[in-house]
Amino acid sequence: MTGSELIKRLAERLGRPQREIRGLLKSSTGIFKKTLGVDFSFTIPKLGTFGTHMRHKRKAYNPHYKKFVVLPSKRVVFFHPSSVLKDRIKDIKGGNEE
Amino acid sequence: MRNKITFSDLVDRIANETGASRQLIHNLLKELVTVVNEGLLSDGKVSITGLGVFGLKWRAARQGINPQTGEAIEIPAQNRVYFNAEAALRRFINRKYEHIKSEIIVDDIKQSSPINKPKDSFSWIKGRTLIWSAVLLGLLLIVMVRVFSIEKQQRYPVPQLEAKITVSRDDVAKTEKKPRRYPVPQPEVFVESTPQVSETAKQKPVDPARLPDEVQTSTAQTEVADKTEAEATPMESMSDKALSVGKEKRRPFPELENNVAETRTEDTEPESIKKSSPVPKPDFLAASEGNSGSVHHIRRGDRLWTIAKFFYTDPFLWPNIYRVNSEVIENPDVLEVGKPIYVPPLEGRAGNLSQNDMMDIIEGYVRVYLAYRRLGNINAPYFLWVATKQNIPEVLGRYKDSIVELDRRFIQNIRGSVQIR
Repeated sequence: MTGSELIKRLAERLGRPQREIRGLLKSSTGIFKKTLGVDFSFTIPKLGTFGTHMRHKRKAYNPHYKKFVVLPSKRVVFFHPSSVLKDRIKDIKGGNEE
Repeated sequence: MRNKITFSDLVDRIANETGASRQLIHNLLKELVTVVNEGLLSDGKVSITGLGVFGLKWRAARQGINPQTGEAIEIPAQNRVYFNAEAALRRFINRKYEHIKSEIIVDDIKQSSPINKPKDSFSWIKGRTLIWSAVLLGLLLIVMVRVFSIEKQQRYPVPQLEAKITVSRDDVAKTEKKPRRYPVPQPEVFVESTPQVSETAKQKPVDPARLPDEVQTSTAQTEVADKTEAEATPMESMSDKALSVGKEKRRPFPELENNVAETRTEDTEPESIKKSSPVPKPDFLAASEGNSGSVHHIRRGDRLWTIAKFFYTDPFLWPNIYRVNSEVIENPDVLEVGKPIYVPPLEGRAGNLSQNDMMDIIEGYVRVYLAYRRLGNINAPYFLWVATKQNIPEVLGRYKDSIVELDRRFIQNIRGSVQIR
């Protein structure tokens, strides 16, 4: 589902014009970004937890070149889905197969 | 997950940002959840711009272990939700560490397998071969420099003259100031000098009968003419000694009846010069037959330099005069007053000399060199150098045997010199 379709559905459900929903969604994602940017995590109920993890510097091995590399540290975003969501999508057999 | 924001707090922030009501935002987010669920169930993918993509992944069945009992459990195949953050969000989150790049570890001995690189206790020295090699090279260089510097000092030996007569300036000063105990008899008569003859004029024969006897006495106490300008040697007092030495050997003037050259004694000339070809003899009688040379009687203050300047207009040609008078004049620096000397003619003029003139002059320089060599004048080699510079090898070939090897080498070291063949 694309973003525009998402907005359409939200507008439909909320009974608001699409441009308003678009604006609201944009600013809300902005807030999400800001909070994650300062390493704060937040939870949206029945969806999941958004947060950041620190991947520290470590030595890795490249088997093709047969060389060891020092990977630099980095900060990544994570999402832990809530159990409600997990249960809901568990049994769907029409999902993407690996 | 140290820092958290509550959902209500989040809603408040969004409401403050947008200006909309809290209720609206609350509802929005709630509806967002349901829409995402619907999207996942129907499409399997939901993308929210500015945030990321929610998707489903099918995991196959696998075996797990009950952590408490330890029994094997079979986990069935099922879907799983994943979230991939948008690129912009990822970059923004990682903005502090974006510039750091991964480094390849070059020589990490610990990481390499122990089979390929066994543990080596001398590895720390091997890693420092550069230092050792640099130190050795430095020592080598120092040693070589010291060795070659020693050799240099001994390379050029100082040429030693055989018959070295040293006169210090102090001795000269002493002799001059010494008071004489006996009165000095003044020479009474000077020999009349013949008038300066032009080239075309005929030569008068020198009649020995006409020469007064007082000339002989004057020779006993001769006055020494100054040395020639060409040489600036500290040999001024040498003249007394030289004259005293040659007094016994000096021939009296009545012998001029015959050719002077025929009475040439063998003691005066060293053997090396005797071997050379005959020197043109000062033939005073031949001069009377129309030869346009001239006889000059030495006056007080005369030098070969000034005589040459008068006759040839070029004083540098004085060795030509010495050449013909080498038996009469022992030391070119010392001229006896009253002695007649023969001034040979030149075919050309001073600035325009003929080949024969050049050969004569060069021979003169060589003879001057030999004379100075005999006397121990340190400037002798320069006269030889002048002779070689003109590069007429026939003249030099005659005197080849008498030229000392040391002088030959000395000359060749002077810039612009010519080989002596």
